[in-house]
Amino acid sequence: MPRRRHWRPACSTPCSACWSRRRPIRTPRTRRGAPPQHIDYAAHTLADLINARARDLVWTSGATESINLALKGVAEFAGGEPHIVSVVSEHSATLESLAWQEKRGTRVTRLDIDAHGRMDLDALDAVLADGAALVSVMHVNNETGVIQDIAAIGAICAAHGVALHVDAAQSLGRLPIDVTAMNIALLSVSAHKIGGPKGIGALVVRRRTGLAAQLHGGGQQRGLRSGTLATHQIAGFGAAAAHVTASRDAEQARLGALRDRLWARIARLDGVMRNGAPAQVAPAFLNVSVIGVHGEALRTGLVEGAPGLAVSSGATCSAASGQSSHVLRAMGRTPREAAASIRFSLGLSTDAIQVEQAGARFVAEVERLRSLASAA
Amino acid sequence: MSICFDHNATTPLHADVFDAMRPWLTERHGNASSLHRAGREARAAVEAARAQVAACVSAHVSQVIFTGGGTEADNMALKGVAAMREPARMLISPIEHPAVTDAAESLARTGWQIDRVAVDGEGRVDAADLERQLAAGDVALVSIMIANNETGVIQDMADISRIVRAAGVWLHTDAVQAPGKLGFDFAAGGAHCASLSSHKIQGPQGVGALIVDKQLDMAPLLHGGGHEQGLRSGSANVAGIVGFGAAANRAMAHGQAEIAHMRDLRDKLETGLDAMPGITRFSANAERLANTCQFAVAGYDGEGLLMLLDREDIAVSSGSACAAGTGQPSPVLLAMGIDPAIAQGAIRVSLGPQNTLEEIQRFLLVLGRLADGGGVAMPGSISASVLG
Repeated sequence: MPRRRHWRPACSTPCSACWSRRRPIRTPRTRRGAPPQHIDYAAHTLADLINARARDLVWTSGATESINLALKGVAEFAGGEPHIVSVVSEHSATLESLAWQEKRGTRVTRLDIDAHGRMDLDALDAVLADGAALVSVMHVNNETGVIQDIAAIGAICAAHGVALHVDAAQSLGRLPIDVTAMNIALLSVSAHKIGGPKGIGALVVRRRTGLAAQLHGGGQQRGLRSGTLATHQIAGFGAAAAHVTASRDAEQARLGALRDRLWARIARLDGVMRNGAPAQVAPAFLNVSVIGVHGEALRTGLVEGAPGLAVSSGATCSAASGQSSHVLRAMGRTPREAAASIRFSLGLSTDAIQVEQAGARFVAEVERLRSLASAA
Repeated sequence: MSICFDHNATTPLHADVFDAMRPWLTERHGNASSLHRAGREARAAVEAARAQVAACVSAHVSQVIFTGGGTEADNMALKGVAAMREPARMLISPIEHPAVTDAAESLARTGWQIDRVAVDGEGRVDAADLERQLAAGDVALVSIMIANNETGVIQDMADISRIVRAAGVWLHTDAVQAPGKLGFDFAAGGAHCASLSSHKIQGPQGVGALIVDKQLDMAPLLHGGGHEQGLRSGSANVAGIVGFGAAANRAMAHGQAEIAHMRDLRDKLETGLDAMPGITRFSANAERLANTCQFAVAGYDGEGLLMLLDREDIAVSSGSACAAGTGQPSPVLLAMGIDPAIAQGAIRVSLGPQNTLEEIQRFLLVLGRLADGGGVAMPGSISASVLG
């Protein structure tokens, strides 16, 4: 069996970084007093990574729950017919929550993005003149890796007195995040994107942010999120946060160099377009559209061929739906270009040899499909 | 050696379950929604676990919706049904877990009328009152737990579901305490949806399920990528779900023997308790989970007694773990008409399959000593001696 290469840390990462800490605490019976110590350790480590207070963290089952809690919780707290401003290129957790809320009395404004995937800050400023309960923006796009200027967005929100929610699932551990300096009221994060376990996330809820709980019960976590805490999961999240704290800058520089090398290899092909302006894309990401090949055939060829590449087209969450990327179409790509897109996301296990092999495989597969098409 | 008598709160992760989870925490890290091989392998593992959970509760595999735990499953049932229609009435019992009670109360703020069905002195739902309340009309959902987490009382779900179904009303049951301690057969036509939790059956924390009959029209609680048939978005917690499946499989394979073992120990415990002065056992005449015994010791405050036992390395609970620390007597016992002064003294012993006869004997010995010496002590002086 060919060795598989993991090109998709944007959808999930191996848990090695958090393993050693997780193992000892799950096996013995947790004594009273012990779990909070581990939770506190995790909370402080994660909070330090984003310059938040540990007590402002609310643990959740993942970023999807965090985002649902932020959007619905703020709207419910605000009452009436609240106005939420977001962006067309958001993750489905945001888009689907907003679509649901829209049917139930929330007014939603979805700002467009430009050809580079960036939102228009003047448009945000203009729309906030109307007033809003919340602005919700993702820091790094999960498909393209395009970075939004959160500091500038935060400043605009602060000038209008509007709370800002940031979906940081893809940026935690990759880019600097400072909830205080960036005027972020709510921040959604997930452990499994930074080498922690699946099934655990957090919502940072900063002081004076009005939020109504969405899960009711035992009143855990100051009543903001009831349910038994998954202690081992939180410990894993904390260990993963500690790991990225120590390694982030060097690792991102390494991944950026590998990504550039991969692109240099691929760019030798004609008719290959890079999605997102290079200077505004997070280091671990490379998203390309290929002209003249069928997207599904290319993806299948890469994934099923030998050696198999674990790559994706569009978001994992919408992979099964077979629709072309809403993000790339919002950036002005044609449906055909958007469909013929491949996302490479690099991670801890990616090295230079893999990059060379992946580049060669990609080029060979595109040439093979094009020769088939011209022969037909 | 420490003794854990608090298995209704949570159970230790079983070694076999941990072994099943381990690969999914280490080298096998696919996202179950990804289309490449690592993703498909994760998907297959999730589906295998879904079949194991379905088999454990006699449900169809397509009826299992994985959640982040029992609390989320309870919230999803109540709010998911409520979201599909205009506010109406919802009936719950007064002995429900806070996840049901508080979810219902949150709906009350959106125009729903929440009414409680009476229970008798043993904690059993009064079927005649249920019929009366349904006859008053406009009920959209009834939620009654199959087995109570504090007293262990088992409801007559066959009778309850017959009454509720005859009224043409949806029925949800919090079945979190059932697997591994009580046979639970979803297909037998009791409830239309049922909440389960992994960590009550020696599985990992942070994962649960709502078993949903397809005819039940419900909205999701979490929106996003449309996972779990659109009913529960969010990347699948693969390791957690695999662990839940393994735990469900274990419960199915070893459940009968473990129930018999726990019942035997619990009966010996109760024989011992009945020989002591000043002990009040709750729900003593009702059908209960084989592992649960709730009682009060005269002159003791429940939390004070809990702390004294903790010093002896014996872990019990005073009522629900979720209400711990509030200092209030158990709402479950109050609903049963127990005198608040007695209810204040309640502690709960909930056994697990690993408990032994020696542990029961040691517990009785320690308790006997405390009961003799503490008969006149006031709750205040006990806390002072513990804390001081």
